[in-house]
Amino acid sequence: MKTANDEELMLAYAKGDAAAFDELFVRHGQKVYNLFLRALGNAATASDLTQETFLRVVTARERYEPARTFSSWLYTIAMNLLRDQIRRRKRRGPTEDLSTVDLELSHAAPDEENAEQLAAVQKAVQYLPAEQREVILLAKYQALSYAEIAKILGIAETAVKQRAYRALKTLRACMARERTHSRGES
Amino acid sequence: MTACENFQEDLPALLSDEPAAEQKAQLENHAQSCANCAAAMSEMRAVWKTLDVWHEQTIPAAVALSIREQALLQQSVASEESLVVRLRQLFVQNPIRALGLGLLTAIIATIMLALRVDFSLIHPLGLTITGALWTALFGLVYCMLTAERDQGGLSWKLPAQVALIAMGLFIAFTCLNPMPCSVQYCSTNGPAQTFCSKLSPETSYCIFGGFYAMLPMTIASYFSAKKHARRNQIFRRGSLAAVMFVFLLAPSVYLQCTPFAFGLLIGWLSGALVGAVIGGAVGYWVRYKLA
Repeated sequence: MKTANDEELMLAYAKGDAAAFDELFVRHGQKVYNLFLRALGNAATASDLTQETFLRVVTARERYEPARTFSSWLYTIAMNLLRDQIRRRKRRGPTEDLSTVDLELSHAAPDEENAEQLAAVQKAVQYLPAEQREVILLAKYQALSYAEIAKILGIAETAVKQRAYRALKTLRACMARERTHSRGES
Repeated sequence: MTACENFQEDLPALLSDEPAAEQKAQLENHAQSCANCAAAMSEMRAVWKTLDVWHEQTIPAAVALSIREQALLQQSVASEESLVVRLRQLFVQNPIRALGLGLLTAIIATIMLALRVDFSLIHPLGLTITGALWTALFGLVYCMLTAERDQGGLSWKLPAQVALIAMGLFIAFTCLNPMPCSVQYCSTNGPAQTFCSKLSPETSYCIFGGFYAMLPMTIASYFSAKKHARRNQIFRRGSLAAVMFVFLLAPSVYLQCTPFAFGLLIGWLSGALVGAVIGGAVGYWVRYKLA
């Protein structure tokens, strides 16, 4: 049996098929939640923003145009919410800056070495400037193409690749520093 | 652009295995011939792979359930609204139809006004021009009702909805009690007589016009405002709706003022503008505070 793609499911949902929304949520719900979680490091905020993202999908279902891929539409909504949230945090002052947010490590890797590596990755990603962090999160963890990311962020594809390259360089430097630091401690 | 710069630009795409086989082969060939690019690729690949250690977490079951419930709830609300939606699609999502609907609304509004206002003193040409202007204004607002939200986040839909509801209420109030009758009554009878009799007719029309515009605007903006509207949207949306409402209101003010002096018309319109802006902001603000 042919599986319906995201765009077909969204159109079916807009016409009243509630099961189509369930399927879309199964495909994207967890990914969107993890995008917020990785970007903000806070499960409660990630839950709220995931709810808000899908609520916006629900309320705007009649305006959805299949010419645009569903994932690009969904992540545009999610990224707008994420940017608003980061802006709000900045306004509230340095006490709620990303660097001070406790990263939730409940699903940390089982052995100690991996747990350390995970902590280093999380720290390094949080250290990235916001514009580089969003590109890395979308490219690496949401598995979106650079062309799609460019559409979502409303910038040129070349600019997205440049941000990704700079982000990788920063991550490399951060992780190297972290390794040296932990070796020094042990 | 040099081959190394090209390579550097396409390296992130190479890491996520994005380029087509031919381009991929080109990039890999370059890496074989350039030690710097080969080293960069190897380091970046290692970083890219390290990021795999950050696994996905499961979305909390309560959050997933709540999202699904909200979707179902919205779906049931939508099925109740579907007739309205279909009517909107049928009449409004087309400028010609919007103009037709504008003409229909203008005719109904004129008939309702004619029940309480004497049009015999208005020149037929003036009446025709006012009707045409009113049709165009209603048509424009109906078009805005279906306009998509633009990139800046400014939505025309809600202010247009508020302006139309406020206009309907204004016409209903006018049918119940035309404003010139209220001004005349308050200047000659009742507890406000002493105060009103001291005011010039222009000032009276300005004050009464303000109240006649503020009341429907407050009611319309309160009931149309979204509970979760942000504070910074309150004044912007309220003002936009108020300006639309005053434009819709202007022809009816002209029809009611034509037999009188020009000063009354200006007084009434300026009062209506102030009243509508205050009413729009108050309606949104009260809803925001109660949310």
